[in-house]
Amino acid sequence: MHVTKDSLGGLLFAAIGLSALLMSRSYPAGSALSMGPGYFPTIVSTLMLGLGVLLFLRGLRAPADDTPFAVAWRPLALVTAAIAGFAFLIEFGIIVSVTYLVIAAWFADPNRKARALIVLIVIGILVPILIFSVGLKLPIKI
Amino acid sequence: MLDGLLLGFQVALSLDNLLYCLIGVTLGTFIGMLPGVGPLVTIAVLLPMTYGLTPVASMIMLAGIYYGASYGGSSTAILVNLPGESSSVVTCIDGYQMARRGRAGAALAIAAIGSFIAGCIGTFSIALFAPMLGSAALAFGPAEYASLITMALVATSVLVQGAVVKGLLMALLGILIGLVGMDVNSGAMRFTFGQQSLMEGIDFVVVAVGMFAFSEIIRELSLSHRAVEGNVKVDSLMPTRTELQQSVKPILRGTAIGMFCGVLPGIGATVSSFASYVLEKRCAKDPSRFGHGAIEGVAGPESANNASAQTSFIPTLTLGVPGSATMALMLGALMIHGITPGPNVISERPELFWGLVASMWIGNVLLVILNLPLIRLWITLLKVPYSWLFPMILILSCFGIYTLSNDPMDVLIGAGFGVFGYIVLQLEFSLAPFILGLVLGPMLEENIRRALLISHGDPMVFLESPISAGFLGAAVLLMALLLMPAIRRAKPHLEQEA
Repeated sequence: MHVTKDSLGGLLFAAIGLSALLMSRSYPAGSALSMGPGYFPTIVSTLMLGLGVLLFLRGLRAPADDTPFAVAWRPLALVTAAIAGFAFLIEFGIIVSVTYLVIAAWFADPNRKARALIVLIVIGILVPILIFSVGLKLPIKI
Repeated sequence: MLDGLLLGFQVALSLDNLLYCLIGVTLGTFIGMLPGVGPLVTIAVLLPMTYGLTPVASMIMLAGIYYGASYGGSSTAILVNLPGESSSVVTCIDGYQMARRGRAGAALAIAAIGSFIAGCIGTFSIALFAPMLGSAALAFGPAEYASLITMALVATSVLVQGAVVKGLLMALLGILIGLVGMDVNSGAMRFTFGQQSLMEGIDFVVVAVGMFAFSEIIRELSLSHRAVEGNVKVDSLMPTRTELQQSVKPILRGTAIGMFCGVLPGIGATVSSFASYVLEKRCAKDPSRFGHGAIEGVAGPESANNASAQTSFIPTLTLGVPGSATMALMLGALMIHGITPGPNVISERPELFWGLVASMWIGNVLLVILNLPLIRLWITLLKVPYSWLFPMILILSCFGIYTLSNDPMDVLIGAGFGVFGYIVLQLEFSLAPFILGLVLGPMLEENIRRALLISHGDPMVFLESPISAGFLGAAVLLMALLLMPAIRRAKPHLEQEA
């Protein structure tokens, strides 16, 4: 037995479907005549669970993928860390959060060049100030 | 229709709207040429910024980006053999060969002329058919709507790249995400995990930016980028008389195919360009010329992809049911402004509908003016490396999400969707059904609820109305067809529609 993209994907969606189904069961289902908040989600998550299991089983029997499932951990981790860090730093203003965002994202770039970094930071700070503070007049701390 | 068009031109020719049209098509051309940045990412990133615009202006700009990209995509396909958009993949085959033989200028000109003719006919057909379809749709009750939405979801799910089951799963997940928050009918909280920021639901923009911008950046960074060779020469832009004559019929045939494909859910610009190429090859007296720089192989597909970009607005605007991910984003943009898309839009907001239609025609004129004389300028812009682009996309995306309600939690949720989007892309799932499910899910639930209420809980209501039964029958038929082994093998040719 080998792991295929289909079996992995099937497992993932079956798991989401199952948890959604369990949650939907806790909402009042009502009847067809007057659908409660749980009626429609129950149908959708049941379908999802069923199709997820189907995909999982089919994936188990299928031949191995031509290109196996792979995750580029470096850009995934760095880009996500860049965005998440931005969320925590935005309260300190545009300059702080953008500087962090650009530096973190810069490390994710396989073709990064040191001299580009400072230019990117400067442009990166100016553009949102121009668009959001000056242009759209939104109250964001600079 | 004449009154409508007159009103439309009044709206579209106002200085503001003209400016947004110009911004849209210029941006569209630019991102159309850049590999790695497509209309989906661009529209997702720009969505939050359209809050400050009028609904007409934001639709005009976003639409300009969409059809502008199909113009820009063809230029890179012809000049450097790199399709900027998936809808221009097929143009590479003969377009690049023409460029190698020194006919780059002619190929560009024919692509632009074909796109322009297709754009004009496409716009005209929207003006002609959309009101007709709209008034027919006024007769739709909740049962018909529920079945129509189901059909659109099924069609998109089964026609995208990858297994049928995977498309359906993504659509179902989109529906579930769309249900997060307070149920409008009972006030019950659904899938909120007790989180305050989830009570009003997950903002459409957060999901769109996360799934399309963030995950795409992660994916692009893991691919190695081909440097663009700089030595492209564009000689005379004038096609010869023979070249023009050879192109007339392919342009018209391509337009017809594109218009037809555009209105169907799940089939769009990319599929129509492939279909047109195959048709031209079959119609040709000497098919062996194809692949060696046959001008018909540029004229047909380029007309087809632009025609379908135009007509895909018909179901979106008149029925409120989008046929592709891009159209789902357009619909989301309308909903941001509190407009419920549907058959009433044409009669209740005529300035919106006709203004958009007129702006599309103006946009096509602008594109021809922008593209041909300025082609050398565009080629220099092509050399902007991705290293410079993606930090800017990230910054604009983050601020766009944050400024929705000044809630950093939204940015975190967006990051979560970025990770999820990347993982499912690597597992070869398509994002289009997901975003369609997200937009249509709440409408589907509401229409099913109303239909069952009217029928006193009898589910047969979906089969008793002939229109509703027709939609459901079409959905079942599509699924059955796509599950047949012979067709399943042929499906990889249906490239994913961006």
